[in-house]
Parts: sequence; C-alpha cells; structure tokens
Amino acid sequence: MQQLREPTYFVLASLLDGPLHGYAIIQRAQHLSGGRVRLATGTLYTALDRLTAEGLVELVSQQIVNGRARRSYGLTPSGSGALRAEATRAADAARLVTNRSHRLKAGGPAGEASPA
Amino acid sequence: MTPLERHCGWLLHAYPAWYRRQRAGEMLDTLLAASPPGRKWPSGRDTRALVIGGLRVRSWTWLLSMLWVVIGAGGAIYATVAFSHPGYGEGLLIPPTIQWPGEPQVIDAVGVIAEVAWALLPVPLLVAGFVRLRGWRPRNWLRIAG
Repeated sequence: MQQLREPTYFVLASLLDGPLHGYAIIQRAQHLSGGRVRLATGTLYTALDRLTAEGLVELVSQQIVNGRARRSYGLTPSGSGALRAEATRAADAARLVTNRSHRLKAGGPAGEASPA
Repeated sequence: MTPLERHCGWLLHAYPAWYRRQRAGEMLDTLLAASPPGRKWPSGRDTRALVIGGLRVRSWTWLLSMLWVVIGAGGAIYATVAFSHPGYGEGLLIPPTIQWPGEPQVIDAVGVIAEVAWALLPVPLLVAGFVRLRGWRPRNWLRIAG
C-alpha cells in the first residue's frame, strides 16, 4: 500500500473517533499532531476530494447551518485499514531506531570513526 | 454580509463554477471559522491554498474538456473523410456472408440508422466538451456561432 503523507495521515486519524465537519478536522489534526499539521481550508478540501475518490473517506451527513451546507466526513473500512497499515509501518520504522538508541548514545555507529 | 465573508467569496472564485456549486458554502463556513474574529481577509496561508487548489481543479477540468473536444473533432474529421470517399458504403452495410432469417429490410434499416448514429457521434462529444469548457450560457453559444 502507498505510504500516506503526514497531513493525510492526521486527517484520517482525526476521524478515528467519529465523523467530523471541515473546521473540526483542521482543529483535531492540529491537536493530534501537536500543532505540526496546520491545514489551510483549500488544502483540506483538496485532500478530502482525493480521499473520497480513493474510497478512504466518505460523506456521512449533511445539515444546513446559517443557510450553508455543513457536511461531516467519516472513515470508510478501507480508510481505517490504510491508517492502521501506516501506523504499523511507522511504528516498525521507529522501533528500528529506538531499540538501538543506547548504542548511539554510547559513541555512534561502529566502523565510522574518523581517521585521526 | 461581513467584509471577511465577501472577500472569502471572491477568493472562492479561483474554483470553477461547477465546483463552487457543490463546495462553496461548506468551504466558506470553514474559512470563516478558521479566520480569527475581526479580520477582513482570510490568512495568507488560506489565501494561497485557495488559489492553488482552485487552479488545480480548473486545470484538470480544462484537460478533461479538451479530451472530449479532441475526440469529437477527430471523429468529425474521420466522418467527413469517410463519407466523402467515392467507394464509401460498398460492403459496409450488412456483410453478404451473414444470412439472417428475418426480414432484410429491417436489418438494412437498423444498419443505416446505426451508421448515421456512429457518424454523428462526434457532435454530442464536441458539445459536451464546449459545455464543460465554457459553461452552459447563451452568451458563450452566441460567441461560438459568431
């Protein structure tokens, strides 16, 4: 499966607890990423268009607020699968480093000593 | 309507009309919520993302329309060349090897209708392409005719 880019990953992750509308997705993605992912409105809707076309996200409900449509988006089973696959991949990649961190602290990888 | 609402409306014109019909209300709602109170314009990041997003949708809408126009124009040229060829029609109707137990006039008629429909197929394709490109407005049709 194709690797998810960070904004996409956090958009999907923001929907884990249930469907959200546009601005709530922006806020939740920012909160979950510790402030790193700050989606602009245009970027969010470009991403939602793409994710809907790929079947990872679906339109769940639509209500009229202040005379404008407010749509809520939710994860599809395939979206939650893609999110989980990416989480596993990232965790595996992270373990590769975190399991060896004591060696790095102890003076860097072996065989790379500078010729002095 | 607040100045912020009006300015967001202007910026949303970066997107083509068919997209705005579907999404503009929802996007305006999100833009207003994302802009801090008292602002007259959305943030620079939001503005840039809207312009880029709008151009992106416009560009693939245009490409799709051109695809239809090119297919339509190609078909029209092919039909013109094929019909103007002196030997056109010989052996093209019902091939003599097929023996049909039904009434040959009916089969002939269906064959003729099918051929005419096939030759005229580029017309709806061209029209669909122009509608996608220019929108369904009398002004645009007058300009094409003129």
